[in-house]
Amino acid sequence: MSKIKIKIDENKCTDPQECRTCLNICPPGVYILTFRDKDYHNPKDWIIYPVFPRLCLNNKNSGNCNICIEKCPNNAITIKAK
Amino acid sequence: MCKMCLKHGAAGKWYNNAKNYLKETAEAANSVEYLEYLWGNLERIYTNKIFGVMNMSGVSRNINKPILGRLIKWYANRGFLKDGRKKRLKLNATQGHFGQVITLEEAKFILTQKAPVVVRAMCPCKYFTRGIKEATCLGFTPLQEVLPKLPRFIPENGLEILDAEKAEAFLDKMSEKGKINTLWCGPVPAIAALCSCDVPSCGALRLREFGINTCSKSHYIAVANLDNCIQCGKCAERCQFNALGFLEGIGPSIKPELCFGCGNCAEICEEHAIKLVNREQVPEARGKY
Repeated sequence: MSKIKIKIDENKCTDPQECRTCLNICPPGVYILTFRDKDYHNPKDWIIYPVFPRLCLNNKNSGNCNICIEKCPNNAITIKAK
Repeated sequence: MCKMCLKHGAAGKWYNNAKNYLKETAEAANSVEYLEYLWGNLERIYTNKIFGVMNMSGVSRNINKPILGRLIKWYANRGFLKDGRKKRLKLNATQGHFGQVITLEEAKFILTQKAPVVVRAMCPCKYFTRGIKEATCLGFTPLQEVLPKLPRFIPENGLEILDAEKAEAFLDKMSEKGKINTLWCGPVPAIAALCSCDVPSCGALRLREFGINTCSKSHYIAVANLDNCIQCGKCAERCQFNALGFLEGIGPSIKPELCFGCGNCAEICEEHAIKLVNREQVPEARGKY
């Protein structure tokens, strides 16, 4: 199994709580909406994090999926093979 | 029989034991205090400090490492069956929060026979992992006392108290959308909630991918009878665990080691080509909950 590193640029990903395109579009459900620190009431502290990177379809076996990269409105997501 | 049935089942299944729904059991297990902490701090327990050790990203990074990964699995798995009546539980480690997948028939049986009045609240998993606000959790007596203290989980129209008929109609509506029924303890013998979730949004079912058995499989397993199959292919879209693959020209093939026994595929089949069989009768899945 090939290892994969998914990165979301926090400066480009503005307002993740409203957008959530990558959350809804990813077929295996790699991403999760979490918050950075203890202040979960503040909407600026919420981020989208790839919690299940080993489920990502960009494997050697299944080829390239790349839906989240294409559909992201701010081009914040990059996927690299380790 | 799963471990939970052996301990709290009274020679049957644990959710058919009427003692687990009683108010006295909930009081003996400190249910109100437990649920108030759990629902009030769920985002802290689930996404920030999971099992009181590390956050969600930390678990996903470390679960495949040779020794540390095994330690996390061991620490997480040992706490789910702890009895709330005997010991003071570690609240931030979600000890005693046992859950199981049940079929639609069993859920309806519970609502009509065991606990006829339920309250409908917002689903905390869906809100904290996906950002969706939806009222899909049905709470039993201990949760009904706790919910008025937590205004975040009260839906826009206010708390709705459902009787058995309305609750059954609600479950029917959710099963048409392809949701699964899971039954939850708030600490172990007292039964607190009946959720209808699906896989990317339910927090506990996602953790099964790491090998952490938060939500155990049901007592049944789906078995296909290919003689009745007319190859409509409806069942292929219903499976949420990647257990059912549809082979064109032949019919469905079900992997017994992946099947959770939720009964979703059996409900949609009009020809009764998929049946639910007791898990103990299938050798590949025997004893694996």
